[in-house]
Amino acid sequence: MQFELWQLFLVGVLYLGLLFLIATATDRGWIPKSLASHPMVYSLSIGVYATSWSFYGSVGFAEKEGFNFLTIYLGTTLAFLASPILLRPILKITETYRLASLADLFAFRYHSQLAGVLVTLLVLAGTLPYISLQIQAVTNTLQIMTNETEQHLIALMFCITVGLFSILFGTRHISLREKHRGLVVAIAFESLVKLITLLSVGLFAVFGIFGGFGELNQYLDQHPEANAALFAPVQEGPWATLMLLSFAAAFLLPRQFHMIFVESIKHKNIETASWAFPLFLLLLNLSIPPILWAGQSLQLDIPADFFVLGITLESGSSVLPILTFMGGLSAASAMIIVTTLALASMCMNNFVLPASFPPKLSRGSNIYEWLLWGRRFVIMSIVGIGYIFYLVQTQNPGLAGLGLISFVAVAQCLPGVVGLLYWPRANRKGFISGLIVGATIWAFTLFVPLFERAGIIETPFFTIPEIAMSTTDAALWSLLFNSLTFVIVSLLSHQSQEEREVAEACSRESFLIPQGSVKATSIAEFEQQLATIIGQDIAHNEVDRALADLALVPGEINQTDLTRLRGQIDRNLSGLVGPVLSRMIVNEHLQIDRATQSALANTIQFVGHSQEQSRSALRGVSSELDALRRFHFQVLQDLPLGVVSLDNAGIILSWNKELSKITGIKQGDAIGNSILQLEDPWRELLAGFKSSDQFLISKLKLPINNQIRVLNLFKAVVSREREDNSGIAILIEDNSERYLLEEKLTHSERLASIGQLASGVAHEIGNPVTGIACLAQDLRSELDHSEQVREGLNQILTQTDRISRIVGSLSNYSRAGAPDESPAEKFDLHQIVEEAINLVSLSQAGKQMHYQNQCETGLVVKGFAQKLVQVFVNLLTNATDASNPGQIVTIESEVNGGQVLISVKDQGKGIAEEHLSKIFEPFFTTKTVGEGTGLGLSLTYNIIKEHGGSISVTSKPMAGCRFDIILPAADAAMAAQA
Amino acid sequence: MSLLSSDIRPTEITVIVVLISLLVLLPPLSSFWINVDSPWYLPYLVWFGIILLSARLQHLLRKHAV
Repeated sequence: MQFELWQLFLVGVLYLGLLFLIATATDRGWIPKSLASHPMVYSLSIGVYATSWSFYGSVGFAEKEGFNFLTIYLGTTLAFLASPILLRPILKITETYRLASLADLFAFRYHSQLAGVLVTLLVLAGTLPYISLQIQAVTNTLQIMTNETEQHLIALMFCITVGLFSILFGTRHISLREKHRGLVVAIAFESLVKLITLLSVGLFAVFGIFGGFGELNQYLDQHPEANAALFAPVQEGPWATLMLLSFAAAFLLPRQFHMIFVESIKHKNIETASWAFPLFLLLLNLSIPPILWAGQSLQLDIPADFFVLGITLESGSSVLPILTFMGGLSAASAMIIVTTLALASMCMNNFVLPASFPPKLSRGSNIYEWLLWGRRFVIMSIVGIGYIFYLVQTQNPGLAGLGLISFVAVAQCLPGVVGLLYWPRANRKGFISGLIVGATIWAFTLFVPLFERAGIIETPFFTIPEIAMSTTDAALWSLLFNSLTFVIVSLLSHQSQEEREVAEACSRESFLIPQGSVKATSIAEFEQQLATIIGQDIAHNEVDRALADLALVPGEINQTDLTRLRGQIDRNLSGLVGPVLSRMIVNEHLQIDRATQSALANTIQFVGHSQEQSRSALRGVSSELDALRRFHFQVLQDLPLGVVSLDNAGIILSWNKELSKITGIKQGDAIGNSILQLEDPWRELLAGFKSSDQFLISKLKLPINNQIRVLNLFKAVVSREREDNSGIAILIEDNSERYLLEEKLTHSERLASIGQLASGVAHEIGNPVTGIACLAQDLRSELDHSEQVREGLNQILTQTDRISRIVGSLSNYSRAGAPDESPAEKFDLHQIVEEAINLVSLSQAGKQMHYQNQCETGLVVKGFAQKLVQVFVNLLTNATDASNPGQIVTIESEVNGGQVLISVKDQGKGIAEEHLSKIFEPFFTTKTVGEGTGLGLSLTYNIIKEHGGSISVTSKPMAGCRFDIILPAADAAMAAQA
Repeated sequence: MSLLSSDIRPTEITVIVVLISLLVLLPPLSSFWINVDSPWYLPYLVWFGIILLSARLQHLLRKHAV
């Protein structure tokens, strides 16, 4: 069956148009975005691995090498089986550091622009045979289907079409860091088309050509050599070497790296892909033996590489050949589209940008557009070079042979992967040396002979038997020498500190923690510095993007946050311009002061934030360590002592809740800043204590907000091996309340001893005063005196009586706190109040007050008279202290049933509302220490309680105070005591 | 006994599974299923067995992570 070229061209364009429609529909949301992130779609998108080699070339490979053709997929299966220790760590590194290609990965790990350049060159050279393989497959297909002889023209048209579609698929977004969801879905669709097509052709081979599985088995029984031809080559062939090559190719080929890592939307999808993608490959290759035997049984006059198409042309129908053509087109176009995108990224980041950055932008354009057009130009250039390579290949080793040359090229990166994941000691010199050695052997044994066979160059290599070797031998030798050189040079050469840090971060999947502190002090400075290289708008954009990525609020940034922001800008720019250039930009324009020993501050903040934000659950020991870290953190937070920890540079690492209470400085305002940025007096106190030789300061009196705070300070130095990991912990104990209590107790004891002294003095004074009174009485009664003398004697008696009363009251007062063992008695309330007024009036302040005793006379209460005197003395003293001279203090009484209500009212300054609930508490006083003990009202309260009564207070500031005492009337009191 | 007890880490179980697969795929064990008398679909069955092993491994690792 023959077709017209225009028919197939139309089919091709329509099919590619369908792919573009699928991609557009996904990007615009017509197809749900969740489809793009589905694990099966991800697994199918990795099916870009199966190119024309798989679609057509596997049959030819099976014919020559038997089941060795399966090694191309078994090695891949092993790579995906090992994904937890191989692919997943690489995915995490590329995601964390925004690495857009294989070359960027190695440039980042080995801290070397040269490494990126060499990998790009090797991969570019190694991919050219692969691209030409696709072009050749499509042109051969068209030739078979149309008998068209203008192969080169067909190839050119194919290249232009696919190149344009590559640009349309992969360079639609201004921001090159966006994932191409549409591309992922389109490539997954192409994989499905390949699978359905090959399975259909296989079914046709079994049922259409042979007539069923039974007939197929009959054929094999009749032709045992057919089955044996599949197994025999395996025993003598390069089974293990081919598996090793396909193991490497599974994730190192540029299209594989791009789809597995760069376009990964959900990193958990790789778990499903670990088995789903190998299953896809198994189903894809299930049809190969039946197709081979069908072609052999039909004795087709075409290379076995194209039996897939050839047997369908025998079907008599146009559907199956067209479907097969579309399957082959899927295989070729998917490969070229994804490969050119991946290579364009590599070439931009490692060739074009380092050579031409910063670009000379025309007015109205920005760096994003410049990058976009740059990529488009590189894509078309790569397709063009692939076309030229195809043109010069007149004698090539077949589809599989060309593909294996590419496999060996990318396999040279395997030692570098070992260094990336498992051997931090590997350094750039070892990697570059090994790569050069391996690539050189590859070039002279496999790549250059391609040109020799084509007659383009004449070198003796192809003809020298020792050098002209099979692909697998070339693979083994190149890898062997590559690995040896890599190991030996790495061990013999020095690794820089920066490289070491990156190596550790990569191999342990830990975080690359920024060292030092940024010189800039604000976000505005960041933007200004970046703007000098990438323009104001882009700089603002990049800073905003980094702030959003870290969930930082612009108004709440401290110095450590700025260091983290710098790291995030570095990562974001890496996704745009590659890690090497982004590091150049950031190192040059967002400079860091490496002398600042802020490693500890950065580590604590970075790890803390990263742990909080990490999407992957911690497991095993990491989970336990995190729980322990949180526990210790909480312990520090909940301590009843203020704790601040500082690093060597004085940056505050932690600031607990108690310290926030003591200082009034919030945690968020303190952590991450220097102690020199705190407000006084804390700045001077903490900075001075930190740098002093003292480890303890006790009873430091600090005036704060018109109050004296009494603090104890303790200091502990935390020494580590590395000086930049050392720190200081300062504990602050607020002893103000305790100090006050101690002072009050001392004062109270002083007063108590004064009371005792008063008691003793009263007793001593009492005797001579009694003597004086007696003598005066005798004189008055015995002699006949003049009126004047009698009056004088009366005065003596009055004054001695007064002295006796004063002394008696003082004695009673000093005994007031002691339990009274004497029985309760009845007494007149009016007289008790009167006695209290007399006592209070003795003081200077009391003399200036007006006390009005409005208690009813004859109002009897039962209790302990002197204790009640003390109660009223306390209340009247407090009223006097609160009042101004000349003001009135009133004592009233009222009888209500069996209770007596006594009110003491003053016109003084009153009591604040917040103090009302506390005034009866022991030691509570609003007076300064020395003026009052805070015990008077407490004693009053207890005495009233003892009498079966109650006391309450009503007051408003500046509106006087009123104490209400309720006591049981004498009869009620007796009843209560009974 | 769970394959993923607290003593065995995910890395270790993955390495064990890969080594088992290599043993099956490489000589001398591969000579048991790669010989001229074997049915043509046998390599596919072996391959399918390794894929099942991979699926089981992922299931175990997911359970362990939870």
